[in-house]
Amino acid sequence: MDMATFKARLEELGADLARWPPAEAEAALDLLAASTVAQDLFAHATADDLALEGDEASRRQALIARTRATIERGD
Amino acid sequence: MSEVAAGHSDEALFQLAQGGDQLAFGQLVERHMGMVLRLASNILGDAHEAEDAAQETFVAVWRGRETWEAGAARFTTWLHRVAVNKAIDHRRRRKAEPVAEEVIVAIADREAARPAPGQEAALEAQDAAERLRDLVSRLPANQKAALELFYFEDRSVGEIAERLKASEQSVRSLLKRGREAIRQKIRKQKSIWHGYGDVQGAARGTRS
Repeated sequence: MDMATFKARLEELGADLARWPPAEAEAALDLLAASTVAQDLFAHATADDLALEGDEASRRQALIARTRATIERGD
Repeated sequence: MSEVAAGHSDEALFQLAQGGDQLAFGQLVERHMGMVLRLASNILGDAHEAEDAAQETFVAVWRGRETWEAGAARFTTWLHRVAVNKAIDHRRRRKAEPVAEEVIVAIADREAARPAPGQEAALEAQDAAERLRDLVSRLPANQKAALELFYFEDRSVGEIAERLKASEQSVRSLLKRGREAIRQKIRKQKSIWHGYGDVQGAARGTRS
């Protein structure tokens, strides 16, 4: 797998290789084992996923807090 | 040991760690474990194995701390590369070696279905059965009872349910949990076999 394909797949499918077609995941692993550029791209994609989840988690927490406050106020 | 301020940059903490400061390194472990775990999990697709790979990553970084040079690369860039490589190593090792727990359970299942094996297969099965018996004996009582009846007395799920005065659903659940517990025990044994005990000891040392 070349770097351009890897980058495109990463954007399309995300960093969780379990979601990739198996043959492409294996090819990506070969590239990852050989290229620090690929490793850095993979780490960035993973960090983006984590950041998105963090946003969702904090939004969820905020929603829970707002809901509880509404109930406590008896609105 | 220094007093480690939470506001220190990664690089500043790692420079303290390079001087042998385990508290500073512990702070880095706390700060980056989530990301390292996710990287490993993305590559391995297995939570237990990802934990092992994440732990090995930090131990490797601790042991190789003198090789990192401030200014050459950000600490996280280096850490993430180590994490990716550790996870790939794990995945390839898994592919190269049949997973012991799967082999044991498969052999036990196969032998239960095939009463007259050849000599070599019989020895293999005997060895697997002995290991299985030993592992089963260390399970919680209800799982132990269900697995012993299933594997060593050739009882059906229905018979086990009757014997244990439980529903068939419960027995299936006990068998499933028992198998999972055995897999975990074997993973632990494998880790020790690979000298992982030292790694864990070193990791514990970073948290003091």
